[in-house]
Amino acid sequence: MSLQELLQQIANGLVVGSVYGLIALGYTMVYGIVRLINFAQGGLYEVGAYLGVFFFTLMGKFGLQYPIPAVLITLVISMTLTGALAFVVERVAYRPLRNAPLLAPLVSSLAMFFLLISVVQVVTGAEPLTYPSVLSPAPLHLGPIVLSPTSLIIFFAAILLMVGMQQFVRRTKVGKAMRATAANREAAALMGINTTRIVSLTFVLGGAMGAAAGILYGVNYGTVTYDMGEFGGLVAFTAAVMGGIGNVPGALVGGLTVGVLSSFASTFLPNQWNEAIVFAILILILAIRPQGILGERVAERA
Amino acid sequence: MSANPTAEPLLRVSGLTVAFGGVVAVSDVSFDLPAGEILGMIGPNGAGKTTVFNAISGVIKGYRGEVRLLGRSLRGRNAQQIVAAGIARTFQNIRLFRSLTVIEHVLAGQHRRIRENMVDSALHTPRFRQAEIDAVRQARAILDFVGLDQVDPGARALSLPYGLQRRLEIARALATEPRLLMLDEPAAGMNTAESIDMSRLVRNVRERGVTVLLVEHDMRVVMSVCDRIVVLNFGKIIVQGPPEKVREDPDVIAAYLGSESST
Amino acid sequence: MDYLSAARERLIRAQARVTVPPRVQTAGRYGFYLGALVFASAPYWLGGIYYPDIWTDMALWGTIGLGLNVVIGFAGLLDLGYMAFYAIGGYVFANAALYHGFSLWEAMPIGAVLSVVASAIIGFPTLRVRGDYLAIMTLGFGGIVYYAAQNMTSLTGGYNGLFGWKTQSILGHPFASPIDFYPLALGLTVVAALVTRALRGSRVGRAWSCIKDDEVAAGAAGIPIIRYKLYAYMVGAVWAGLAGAIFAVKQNIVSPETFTFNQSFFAVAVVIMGGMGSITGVILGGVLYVVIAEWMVTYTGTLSGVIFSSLLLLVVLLRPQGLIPFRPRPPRWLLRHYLEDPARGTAGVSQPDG
Repeated sequence: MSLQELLQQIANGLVVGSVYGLIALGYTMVYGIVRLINFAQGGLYEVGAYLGVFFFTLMGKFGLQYPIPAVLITLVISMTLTGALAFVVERVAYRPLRNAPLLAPLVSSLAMFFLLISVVQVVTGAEPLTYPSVLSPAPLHLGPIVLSPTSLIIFFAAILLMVGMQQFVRRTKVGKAMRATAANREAAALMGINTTRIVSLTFVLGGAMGAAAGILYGVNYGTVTYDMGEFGGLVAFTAAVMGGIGNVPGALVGGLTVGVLSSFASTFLPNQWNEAIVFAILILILAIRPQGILGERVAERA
Repeated sequence: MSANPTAEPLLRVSGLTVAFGGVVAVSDVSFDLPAGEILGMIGPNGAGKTTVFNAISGVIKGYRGEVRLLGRSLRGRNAQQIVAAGIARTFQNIRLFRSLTVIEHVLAGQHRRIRENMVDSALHTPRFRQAEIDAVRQARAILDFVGLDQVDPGARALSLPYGLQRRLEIARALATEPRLLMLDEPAAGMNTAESIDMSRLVRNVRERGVTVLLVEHDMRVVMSVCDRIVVLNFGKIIVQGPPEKVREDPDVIAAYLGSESST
Repeated sequence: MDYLSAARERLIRAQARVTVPPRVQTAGRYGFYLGALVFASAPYWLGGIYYPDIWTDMALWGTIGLGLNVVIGFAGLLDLGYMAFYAIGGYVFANAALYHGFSLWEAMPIGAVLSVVASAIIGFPTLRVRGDYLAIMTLGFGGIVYYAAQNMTSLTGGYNGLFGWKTQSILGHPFASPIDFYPLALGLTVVAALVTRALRGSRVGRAWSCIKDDEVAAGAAGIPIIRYKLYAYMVGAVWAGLAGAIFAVKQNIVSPETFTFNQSFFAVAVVIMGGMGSITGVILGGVLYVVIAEWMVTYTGTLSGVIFSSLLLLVVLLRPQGLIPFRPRPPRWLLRHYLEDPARGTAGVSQPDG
């Protein structure tokens, strides 16, 4: 492989990885606060992607031609709706089981995931849907690398969202309450923080990030399928673990790493083995370094 | 009960240091525990008593220093290997199994010694039945010993009253046939009569030839059963010696006895 | 002081009385056995091809439930890739029959052994991690086996699958019609039920319960945690491996579509809905799964996923112990030996029934 191909693969991997990072953000924030793998995150990502198709198409019908406003409006509406859905998920599948043994919320969030992707499957008839191409397909040449303008925008949009979320968690008062809840829920409650509201908010933000990831994925690849939530959810979970689950900047690092790794895997191996390789990487990472690259900051309590 | 002073003690802890992410919980703790002794470990809350327990019993693995049982280092062994070596423990916040009955707790403690393989278990062979019957008889002897002889063996363990749950935890630990039994606050939350009972049980354990390491807040229990006492404060040993000496030591009174209303 | 403790001791004893409850030998119990017998023999008096086929599916899903029950119900490990072992059983049979002339009898044990080997290989690295991570890793493992089934064409026939072996027979009795498979599948379910029930009531089963309830306390009781998790995983794999071979023979084809994540999810649902740990419960779960799936294919089409996940959600929320909850109790014969300890006699203790 030449240097140019290598750089190209890295660039492709970074674009995909930024999307994984966004989904991973949802896993990692929820995990940090409630110590639960929210399987439903993969479903929320998929629902977000499909809502995106719906609103893009709707705006096309109303003659909204300008791509950037169209993307922005779609993002805002889908993120809001998916966030609301995540709120319902928390209310139904997590909150009643707060004090149950670990297996119960795990199974209920799994059931929720399955319910979401089944609903998508039923509503869309299991057919892949096409995203309207919003930007000119003319490729951009950045030195030796060729990228579509869409991928560039996706990459920067994903990074922007992730950095924004990190700043939100780090700087705002609500973010501070989230961190306090993650560190010690009882103590946070004693300090007058409404931890129930914080848990809800975390689910909502995680769902919104998932929806954004779904739309960016759709815009980048042009199609969405009803089983995208399963694969995307798994890969993003790997990313969250790699970055150190519960660690917000780690989600970005993990996402980009998994993106580049899977991009290399698809270069060196026949295409149909792509998924199997990603699953194998996932198992290896979880087995060898379950605390992630950056470590499990949040859970560090004696 | 006095051990040969030149022989290796049953348990030797030397230079034990445990840190959690930069916070030193236990620092350079050293003590010997000769076979047959009841050693008390006391100190204010957060002094590091349970941390010492966790290091000895393999719950915490990353420590500096040495823990030796009859001269053999326990470093790197996991919890069940340490049980196999002969150290059993109870927990400060009682940890019984939600879905097991009283008798099954004792049978679980006997796990390593019940001689039945997977095929015996799957087919309930005569060997399986014999092994289970032997185990159940031993379990009864142990339950009798800790004073649970009149408890329904088929009752869920968590349905027992608090004091009996503590005894069941001790029964589970004794069922592993330990040389050393480590009790983490066995009399916590008990009234006077109950803690007197507990003291008697601890002495009976020693009569069976089991050495005891006891963490306890209840000074009545500590002073009445322990041969020697180690006092921890801020993760360090400040005094060790017989109860009479510890009781009068000014450092101990300042660090511990003075800070709480003692009996 | 001694006087005081003696009084205390009496008080403690007064709080509890040792009893062995009489066996419940009521009409309800016999009714249950009779009902089960009538239900199990239904294909013989209903006749035709459709009913024996459905009942065979029920028996196979009952077996799947029983196997996965060892992993989830006994040991508390959430396995989201269980159908991988079903796939291994099926593909091993297909290869052995097509290319090596093995019969079903000879191929079934091989499939079971290879399933166990696979479970050990995947279990060894995965069983050290936390429960929720394990769920994800098994999901990944199931995915790998699924994609391998699609892509390792020389072994699996790819998308098309493997088919075309000669009709299997036992003692000159050919397996041609669904009613021929039914006794085989039902027999497997019964054996799986008896063996897993026996294991549950043994040293192994106790070790699994301890690990499920509290790993730290299990370690303190001297139970080798990783080893017993691995045992649970391996014992569970046996039954899927055996059932997978029967399924292949019955369907006359093995193809990747039977081993998707959806199938593994349904297997989890069977165990959770039926009642984790309960033998009767998970068999009932398997039966219900087939009934609902069959009903839905006929009447609701693609809604099956929606209905199943909603049902699972409802059970977890409203009846987390499942339809038939497992109530742990030591076996009566053991309790009798407890009470008949010759050293103490049985005086003062209520007698077990005769």
